[in-house]
Amino acid sequence: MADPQKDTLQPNMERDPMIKKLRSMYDEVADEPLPSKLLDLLDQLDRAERNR
Amino acid sequence: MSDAFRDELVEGLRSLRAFARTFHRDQARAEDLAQETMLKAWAKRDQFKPGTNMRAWLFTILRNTYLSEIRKTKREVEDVDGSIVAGLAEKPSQDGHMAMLDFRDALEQLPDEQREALILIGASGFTYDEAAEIVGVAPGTIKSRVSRARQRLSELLGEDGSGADAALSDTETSMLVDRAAQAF
Repeated sequence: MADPQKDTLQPNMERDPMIKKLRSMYDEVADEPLPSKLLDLLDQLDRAERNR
Repeated sequence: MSDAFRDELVEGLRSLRAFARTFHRDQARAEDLAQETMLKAWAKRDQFKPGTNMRAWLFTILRNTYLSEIRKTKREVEDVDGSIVAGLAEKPSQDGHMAMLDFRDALEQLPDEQREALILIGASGFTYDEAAEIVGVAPGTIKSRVSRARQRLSELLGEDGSGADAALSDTETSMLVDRAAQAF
């Protein structure tokens, strides 16, 4: 999810419809749950490390 | 892996996937890139300094992974036929007004470095300084890339801003053109 920080964007950029569209595309993915494949892989790495 | 590192990594992966899928038209490749970055981050976890910016660290790894992949692909294609590489590297014509495109197509038409800067600043929420550090250039270079990306997008989407819901105001467009001109 986009996390705007102070001074990141100039005010005219915030109002720019193209930037809004870009951010909407980005947020759509950022707001999705992470794919289980990715989390399973992370679990495997974690387990392997703890069992070492 | 510490639980704190894992939690931060998982949170950072959300941004990473969003960046990769906004940057790449090929969504499967974007997912592979995010996964590859996660594996590399895990392998380099001892190099991450707790308290520093995990997202920026992950984006730097993703960028290096992407660039290595591009170099490898280019080498492989060059081995077969150099003319194919020349074709792939050819940029769309900058002359004249192109047919109106939808937003996704227009984004794809931007040079990689402009698209990258635009997404880092406009969508990922990095500051110009952070984006500059990730990309390895001066903040001013990021600013001019963002400016040129917006200008080019505006051209590609049509003067009435079709595909982006509305056009930039004349004042904004004029400011962008001035800024782009100053960058050279």
